[in-house]
Amino acid sequence: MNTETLLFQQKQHLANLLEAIQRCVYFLDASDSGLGWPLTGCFLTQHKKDNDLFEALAAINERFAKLQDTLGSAMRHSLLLSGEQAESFIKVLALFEKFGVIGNIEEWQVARAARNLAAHDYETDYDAVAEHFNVLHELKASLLRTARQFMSYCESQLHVAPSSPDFAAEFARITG
Amino acid sequence: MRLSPQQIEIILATSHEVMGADASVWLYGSRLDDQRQGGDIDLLVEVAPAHGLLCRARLKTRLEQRLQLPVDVLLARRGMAGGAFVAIARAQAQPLWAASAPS
Repeated sequence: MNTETLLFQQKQHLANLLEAIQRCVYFLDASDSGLGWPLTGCFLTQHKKDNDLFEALAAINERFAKLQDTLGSAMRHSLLLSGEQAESFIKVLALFEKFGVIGNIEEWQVARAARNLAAHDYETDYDAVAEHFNVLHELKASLLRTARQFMSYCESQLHVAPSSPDFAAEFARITG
Repeated sequence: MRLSPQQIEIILATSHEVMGADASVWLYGSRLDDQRQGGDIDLLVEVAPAHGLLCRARLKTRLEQRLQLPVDVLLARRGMAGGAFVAIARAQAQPLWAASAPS
């Protein structure tokens, strides 16, 4: 593969990741906006057999994680196109903190730890379950802000846009 | 207890920084066993009820960054019963502030 073709493929891969980010934002928002916030342990106890409610909560868990992981992959991949060097993910985060895409490194890491902590906990303490989802709901704003700023960075600095416009309007509305 | 005095100092200082000066920190799990090797650092941290999941995530993040080791943080809210897992951890836990005191 010659250099020009390789560069095209790398840009195409980033464009696909950008579309995936927009898709994750759309579905995370769809699951999140259907619920009344904040959740309480009492409410979850009363609805402990409500399949629709717990499917929506499971979807929030999965979509929050998927969005953060896809953003991480896309940030790492975009550095190939910008010519920046980052041997570890912490250096990727440091660069995007410098670019103003993420608020700060610890904010990113705490969001990741919070989502993983609760995903591994034993889920019959409904106060703890409610707290977990309230935290994800609270952290969602920061993740959406990062997604919007990363999209702007790719368009302005790398001239790469999502591979299709399918989720663009919803992404702009949700993150605007 | 398989923690160095420096590691204990970092754990206590970071716990107090994130959870407040009145946080109490215990070690439980495999690091209590001197015959074993490696493993996560399992901490039971007793705090005021206001500290929640975000504080727990922040403490875990800072400790892992400063110790360069995997850390599990279990929160016990002061004055609250806590679950069965907290009771099991508490039954074997050793206080870190005692371990850090000069003999």
